[in-house]
Amino acid sequence: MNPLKESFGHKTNLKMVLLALFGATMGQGVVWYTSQFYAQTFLLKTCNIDATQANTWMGIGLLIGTPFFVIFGSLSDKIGRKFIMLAGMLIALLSYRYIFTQFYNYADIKQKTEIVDKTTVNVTRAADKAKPQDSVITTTTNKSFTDGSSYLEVKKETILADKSTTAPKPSIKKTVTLSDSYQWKVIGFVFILVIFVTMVYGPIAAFLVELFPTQIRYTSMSLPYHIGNGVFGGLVPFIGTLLYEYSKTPANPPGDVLAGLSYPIAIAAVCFIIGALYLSNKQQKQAITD
Amino acid sequence: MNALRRTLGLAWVILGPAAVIFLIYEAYGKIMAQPTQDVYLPWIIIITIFTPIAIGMVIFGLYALKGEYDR
Repeated sequence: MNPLKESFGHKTNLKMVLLALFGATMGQGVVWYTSQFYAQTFLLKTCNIDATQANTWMGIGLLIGTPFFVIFGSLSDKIGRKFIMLAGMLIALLSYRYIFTQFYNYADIKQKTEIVDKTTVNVTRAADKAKPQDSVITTTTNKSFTDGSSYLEVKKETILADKSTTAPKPSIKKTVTLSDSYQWKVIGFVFILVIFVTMVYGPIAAFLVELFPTQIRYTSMSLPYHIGNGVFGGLVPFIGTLLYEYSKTPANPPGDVLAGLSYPIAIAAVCFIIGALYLSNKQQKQAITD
Repeated sequence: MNALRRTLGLAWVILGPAAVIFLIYEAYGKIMAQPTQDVYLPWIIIITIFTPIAIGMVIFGLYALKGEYDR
């Protein structure tokens, strides 16, 4: 018996492999990667939140949410896998834009009131370590806000000794340190994002196991699981960042900070429709065997 | 419900090639505007990865269209 031939060579099994991919794991993958990895990338790169602060709050949210993998797994034993997975997918795709908007608003210094008296700007000039004939002007700006948050911007500009060549673009590193008043708001939203993950992920292993008979089980579930997670899910940060970069136009230089969410939302929406229409809560273990 | 499952099969059959055509169209526009490795490499990766998946979507759609997922 060749499990590869049996899994993908027989229509009865292949159609279940495709259904598992397009009706379950594809959406599960994007929800998982968006809620955990893209959320972290978003907090760090788009919101420019201090790395220690963002990672600590992400960690606490994950820790609180993790037991729900077991809870939703257990619940799916009672009420069925399909309902919980699809509910997780639907709630996630409907609420992603709102949650990520909240993250952005918390860190958006344009929406905060600056305490102008506390603003400091330091300008230093030093020789470039790599090319001592050139010099680097470092402008460090510190801002404080009435809500207790602070902002640090370090701009490094290289001045070339050889004026005939074009100087590189200045590098700007922005860091927003939020006040503690935002801690539980951010953790709360991270927790909600993790709940989506637990809803789609908790029942998936049992769902895939039940979908295929034992003799071809791992061969058959391996393809949809790994394409769903590795390809659809794994590409979320990459495609998300790409979409955000492409949203930056001359008319709108900052771009649409939520553009990256279009990809996971679209994939989860297609997966939800396919899952809702074609998936069954019943166990399917019929396989064609020669 | 079975009629809807079959009808939407056509949508999945169209979605596969439509997605690939959209990706190629977008890639062409972006690469022509800025033909650097930073631009063409991600597009080559994305199109290479998603083309076989789009073929899978077409097969899935054909199965749905033929009523293979009817209950």
